[in-house]
Amino acid sequence: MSAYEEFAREKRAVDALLQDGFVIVGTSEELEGMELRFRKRLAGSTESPEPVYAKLLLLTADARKYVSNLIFSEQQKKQA
Amino acid sequence: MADLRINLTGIPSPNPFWLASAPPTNTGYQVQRAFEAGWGGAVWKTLGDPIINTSSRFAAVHFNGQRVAGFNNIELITDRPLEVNLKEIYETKKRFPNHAVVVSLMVEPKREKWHEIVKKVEAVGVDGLELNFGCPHGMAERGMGSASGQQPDLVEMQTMWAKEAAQTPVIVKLTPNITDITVVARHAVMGGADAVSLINTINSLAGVDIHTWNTVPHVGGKGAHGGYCGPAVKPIALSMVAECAKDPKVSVPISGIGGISSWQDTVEFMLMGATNVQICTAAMHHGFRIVEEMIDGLNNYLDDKGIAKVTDLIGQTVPKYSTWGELDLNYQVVARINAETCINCNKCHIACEDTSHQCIDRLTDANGKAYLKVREEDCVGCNLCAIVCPVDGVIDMVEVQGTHAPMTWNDRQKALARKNSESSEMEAV
Repeated sequence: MSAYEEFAREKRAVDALLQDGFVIVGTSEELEGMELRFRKRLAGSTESPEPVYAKLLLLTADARKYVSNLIFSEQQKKQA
Repeated sequence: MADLRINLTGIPSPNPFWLASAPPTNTGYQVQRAFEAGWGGAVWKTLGDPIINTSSRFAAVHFNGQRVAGFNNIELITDRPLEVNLKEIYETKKRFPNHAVVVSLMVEPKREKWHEIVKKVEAVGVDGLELNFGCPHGMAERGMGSASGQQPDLVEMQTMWAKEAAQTPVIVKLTPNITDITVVARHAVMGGADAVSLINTINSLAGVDIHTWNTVPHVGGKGAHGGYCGPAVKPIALSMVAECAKDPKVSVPISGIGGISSWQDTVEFMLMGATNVQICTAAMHHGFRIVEEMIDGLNNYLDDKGIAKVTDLIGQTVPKYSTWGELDLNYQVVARINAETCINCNKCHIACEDTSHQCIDRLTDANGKAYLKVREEDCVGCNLCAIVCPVDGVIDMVEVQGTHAPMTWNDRQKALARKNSESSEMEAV
């Protein structure tokens, strides 16, 4: 598999969670890669009022950079 | 014609090209011939207690047909009495009043020794002094040269002693044989240095003769480490000059030394903060007249750029030299191979496939002709293919516009830390 395809696969996984209403709430970087922690608060839902959590382990440098850009740009927008 | 004059901490010179303290500046005969050829200044070969040299002193490293890619020497400081040198320095300065005559000094780390030699040398009318805390061989075994230069406190103290007696500017010459050259540079400044010069030679052994098993060079079958200089050391020297130039605590002018062989090298050192350059190996390889080409080349470059004075170059690149953490992670270049001019030697494919990121495909077109193509989405922009390509201009590294704003590693680390901190606060609530 090409490096780009590996990145694209991980990016799709991140984007899918974000599109599903999850937000990134934390990251940690270990020898195995970057662990991303997501949370989705189902406001208004009677079935599941508690937050739902998800995790992703990103292996590729480009995916880790992609997520970093998302977090960085979000903070830049808030500051602006 | 641009104005090539420089002024290094009060030492004027008709151009930035000085001969470094070394064999080319051993005698008045040599320095005067150098000035006749066009050199703007010279740092006289180091004066101190006259030494005795060995026979067989120099060695060169030739690389793939290029003679003298690197140069190694085990010659020491002057072997001539002080009075002989002083007489010739006086005569040289009298004959060339507008050229810079700086004298390199090395004595034992004792206050009275520094006072004595500074006074004697200044009495013959020199323009400045250069303290040799750099030579890595021979003298270092006696506690001088780089043995002093590797101890920041000793550099500071000896600089102070020299300054106590000196009336002319004091330049401190630094050894590269140390982890962080800026530490020693800062101590030189604290000792009162008016300028620093760098780099002196790097510890080296030019080679081993695989047939006789002798070192290169050897003295009757025995060898000792020497000092390495010449074109091979230029990137090391340039980096150390840059480190000093961007350090606000090294707040004195810099004289750049190390592998400078052309006017282009000179421009690079000046852009990176040097006020002038000192040259040795190129003169030893090609003779004093090499300076003619350097002067012409520098003049033409400045004229082409519309720059009136060479001093306008000094330090222009320093703000562009930062730390890795301040580089933009979103800047992206990719390789593009020009199929029209590519000779299909395959070197880029092999280099990429074996040692880089496996993104150059060897393909065949409809006519059965082989061609090389970069998969740009996989290219990391490492430059290796362009470096190994034997034909200029076949592989271009092309900037591609990304979708993200610039973000450095430091930006990233701060952003992630902030995100995690916000998350912790939320969880605490």
